[in-house]
Amino acid sequence: MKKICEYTDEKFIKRLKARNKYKAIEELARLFDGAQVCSDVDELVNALVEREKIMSTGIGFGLAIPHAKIKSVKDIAFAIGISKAGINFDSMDGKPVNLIILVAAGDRQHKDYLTLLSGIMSILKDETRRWEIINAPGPAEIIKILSVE
Amino acid sequence: MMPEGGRFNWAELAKAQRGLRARYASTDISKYISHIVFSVVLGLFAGAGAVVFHSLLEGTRHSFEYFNLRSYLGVDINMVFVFPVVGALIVAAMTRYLPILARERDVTSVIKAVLLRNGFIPFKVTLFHFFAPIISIGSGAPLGPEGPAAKMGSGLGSLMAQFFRLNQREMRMYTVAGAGAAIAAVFNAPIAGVFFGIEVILLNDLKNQAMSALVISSVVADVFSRAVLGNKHVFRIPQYVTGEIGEFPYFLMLAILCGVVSLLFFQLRRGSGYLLTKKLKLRNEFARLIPVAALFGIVLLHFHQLYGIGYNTINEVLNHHYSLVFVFALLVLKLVFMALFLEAGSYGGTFAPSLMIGVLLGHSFALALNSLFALSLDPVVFALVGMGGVLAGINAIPLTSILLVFEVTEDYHFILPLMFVSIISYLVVIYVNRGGTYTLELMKEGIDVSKRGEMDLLGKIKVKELRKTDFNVVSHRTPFRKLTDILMHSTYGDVFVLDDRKELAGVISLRQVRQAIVSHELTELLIAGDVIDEVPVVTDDDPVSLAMQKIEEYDLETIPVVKSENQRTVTGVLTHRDIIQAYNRLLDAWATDQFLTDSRPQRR
Repeated sequence: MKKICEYTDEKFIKRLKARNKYKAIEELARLFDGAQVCSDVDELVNALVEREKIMSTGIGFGLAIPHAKIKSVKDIAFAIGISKAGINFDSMDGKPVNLIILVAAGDRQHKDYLTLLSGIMSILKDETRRWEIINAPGPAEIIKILSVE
Repeated sequence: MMPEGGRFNWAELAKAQRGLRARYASTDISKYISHIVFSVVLGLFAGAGAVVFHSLLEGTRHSFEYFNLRSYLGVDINMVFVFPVVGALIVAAMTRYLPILARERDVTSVIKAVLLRNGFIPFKVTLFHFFAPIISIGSGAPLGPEGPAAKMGSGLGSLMAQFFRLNQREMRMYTVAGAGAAIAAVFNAPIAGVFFGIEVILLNDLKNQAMSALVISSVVADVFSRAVLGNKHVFRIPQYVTGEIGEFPYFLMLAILCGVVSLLFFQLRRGSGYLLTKKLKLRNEFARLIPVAALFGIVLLHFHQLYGIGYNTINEVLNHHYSLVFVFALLVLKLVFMALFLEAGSYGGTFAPSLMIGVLLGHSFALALNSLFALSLDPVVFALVGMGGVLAGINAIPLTSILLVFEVTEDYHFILPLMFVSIISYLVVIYVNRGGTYTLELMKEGIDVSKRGEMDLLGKIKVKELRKTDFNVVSHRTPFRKLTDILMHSTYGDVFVLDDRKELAGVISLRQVRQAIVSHELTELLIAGDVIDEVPVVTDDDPVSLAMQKIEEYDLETIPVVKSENQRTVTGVLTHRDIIQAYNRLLDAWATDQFLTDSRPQRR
């Protein structure tokens, strides 16, 4: 089974400038521009935003996991966005979000999709790990943190 | 029953009848006896039919044959070309004015009657196909009697079942048995008759319970035919020398050649069909058949050996009356005109012509090798073996071919090369064509019998006949926690997810989201729309076979039924279980009569 850290890349990790959740989603999704992950990033952004409008993916504890399954995604992957200032994500606990994990999956990658989401949740439910990621000096260190499962 | 006064007491008789019926009619022994009696009666009918068919066919052929024209009809032998045209005129008129009866032609129509109509064949169809081939073959068409004979025999079986008001399974059984019995009587070949029934009509279903009827009727029909027509040998086979083991490579070459010639025949049929229908755009029955018959008539002036069934020609070839070039010319012409007549709309079968083509091919093959490589192959053996090879190739019936050639020649000595060549030729044909002749013919009409002879039973019923409406739906906005509750209590273990337009967005099954249910963290993150799977759909008017195909392809338990491909409003659900149950019900109706399986308790 693939490790969680194998679904991302240093270039998919970014400190976010956006202060709005939709802008943050777009900023993060654009990291896939030019990569092999998704052939139509506009479609991905739309799907993520539409999904977000139905029900917030801010699950509390400063964490949000926007996600979408669409045809134009070839290989399931995720991007990591960090906002020290915090973004209002209409989270369940009402607190701002500091860590956003954006998951993009292909429309037929149902099983991998649930496995990845589940894996991410099980790592990030640990408060120390979340703190380490948010305060990591760079992408390489974040990958290192995720590689310990 | 004869009380005082000598008056007959009808009431007493009726009472006795009722008593007897109550006591014996539903017993196993009465069922067995009535089955044997019906099979014997059918054998007698089929035998009688075959005798009349044979006599009329022979009489017509004999009167119009080249050498008999002057003595029988007092006309010049060059008038031979007129008869195929006259025959074509009559046959075309029959086809033109009785199109519904005419379209049920050849053996495929018998298979269809058994597959789709429980063996029901209207008697007028039987009558039509009794006389049409007599006129057609009797007036010279280079075709054979077995297709019409099988139609006649199966028609009689069906008629008997209708007359005695037998049930559907019995009708199917006797329709099959009648076909085999007629073949047995026409060719004096009872074993081949049985195998014809198995290989052709039952599509290799060796477990079918029509077998006993098939055997009894075939034996009785052949006995009847021999009793009336005598134990005549169709072929006069001269002395020959069966080859050594070293000749088997040449038999292999002949086998492949038989397969290739069979394929060439199929190609010629396709070419003839293209020429008549597409190129010349001939739709009218007269316009299609008469030019072919006229051309054939002209050819008959030089090659009168092509007239009719061709058994005389086979005998003449076997007894070395012709040169290699002439035999080869006959071979080519026979192939071409057989294809042309069949495509132009004449009536007749391909068994007897296959025998002639096989003889011509085997004979010329041996002669050619002898003269080219100074070999000493016996052309008679190769001709006899070629019979089986071409018969098996053109008709895709290897076992019937071996047995038919064996029975019509009444000679065992060449059985090994015959078996070898027949099966190799058959394999060549089915390898190239990817299926047997009759299977492919049925496939063209949308009847799939490719899976070990099983009918596409599910193709016979529509989705709307099995559709249920007790399905569960949720909106794609439904939170996962609520969705889990609905799924747990759903009728079929899955729910259909609707989008904002209330149309189907996908399906969620319990087994697909088991992982998400176990992982409690995900229940707060997901909604129904996140975990849907795209799902194939069917509509009310689709055949259930299509639904089953999609269910298997996507590994589903249920499939949604929608209004149309474009309007995906869910109207029902079709379950795998319901389809299997429906299939079993159809299979029950399809199976032949069960009473022949012994239902009595086993004695210990």
